[in-house]
Amino acid sequence: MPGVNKLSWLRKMLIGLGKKIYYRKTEKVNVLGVNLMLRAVIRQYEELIGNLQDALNEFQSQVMITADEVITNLIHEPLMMGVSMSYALSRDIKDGPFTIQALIYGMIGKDYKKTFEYPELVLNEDQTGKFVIRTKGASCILCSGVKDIQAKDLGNSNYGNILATLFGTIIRQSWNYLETPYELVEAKETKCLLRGDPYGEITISFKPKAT
Amino acid sequence: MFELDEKTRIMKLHSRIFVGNLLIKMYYPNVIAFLSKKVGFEEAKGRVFRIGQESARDMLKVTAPKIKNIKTMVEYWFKLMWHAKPSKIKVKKEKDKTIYEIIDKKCGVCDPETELEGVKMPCISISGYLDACMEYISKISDIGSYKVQTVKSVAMGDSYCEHHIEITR
Repeated sequence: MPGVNKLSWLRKMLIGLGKKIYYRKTEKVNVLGVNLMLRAVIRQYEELIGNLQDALNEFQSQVMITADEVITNLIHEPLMMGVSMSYALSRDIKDGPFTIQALIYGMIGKDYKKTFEYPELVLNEDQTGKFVIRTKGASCILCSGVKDIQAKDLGNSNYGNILATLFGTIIRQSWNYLETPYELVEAKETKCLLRGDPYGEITISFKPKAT
Repeated sequence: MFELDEKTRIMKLHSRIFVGNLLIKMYYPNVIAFLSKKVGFEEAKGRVFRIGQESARDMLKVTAPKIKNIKTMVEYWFKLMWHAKPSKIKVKKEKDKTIYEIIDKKCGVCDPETELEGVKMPCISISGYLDACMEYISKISDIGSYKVQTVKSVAMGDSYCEHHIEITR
């Protein structure tokens, strides 16, 4: 069975070091640049599709396909020094927030503290539960530069589902790889600054696998 | 007023933070493929150019650099956007025009491993960025007329991406 049952303190320490080296070595792009580029892309989609809601849904469905491919590579192929992302994974659900935080660090570096709260795990008695990833107040990396979208324009779509899809795909694929007794139910944006919420929030809900 | 100040503060904060380029490499080819399928590559090119142009205009409003020199501005933009300098900027002066040849060996948007059928120069959005940079300078300094274009791209099999800024006086 791949992966470990629980992350030891030594492994956590190595992951802590690894995420810093990975971030330092990785090619980077400006957060505001991505944010504004995303808005410009969605604007083009809106023009061609007709409305924001369908534009966001179309974009998200495209991201979903690519995310699967990219995350498969991240889990299986070495990121650095022959080690893949699977080194940071464990079957213990309580290690989830640590691993998610390490992933966020690997993506955004030490500034993650300025943009994300520490991820939260809510585990119910029946073993259903959720991971909650919140932005630090209004500091949402996806929509801080967006000034021209109102809550009513969004309809049923969510601007932050792009990021939710990414986190959801990582968790679903990691659990498949590790053969954990959990399965992902849904990964979606549950709070959004564009809807007037005070912070952004992504919720990844899960349940025990049916036996 | 407070809300606006807070938004500006956060945008400024985000203009100093860098995220792994995985996000761009993940969605950019889809965008090009989608636009090309919808409107054909020739029109898609214009739209991709505008994506770069619009986002760079907004970004320059936030960072508001006091730069009038073209080479310095190009270096500033690459540093701001990708935390790196372009590989080389050659300046060719001719009788009535100056051409800045920007050579980029680590393109922030091209992925040589992703084949996009019928699509030429996906990094044309970088021309859009540079065009917005020129527009920004032209508001504070008389630089004459300018034209920005992408002439080489690793996605087309070139060994590096190259963008030209042509200034005519």
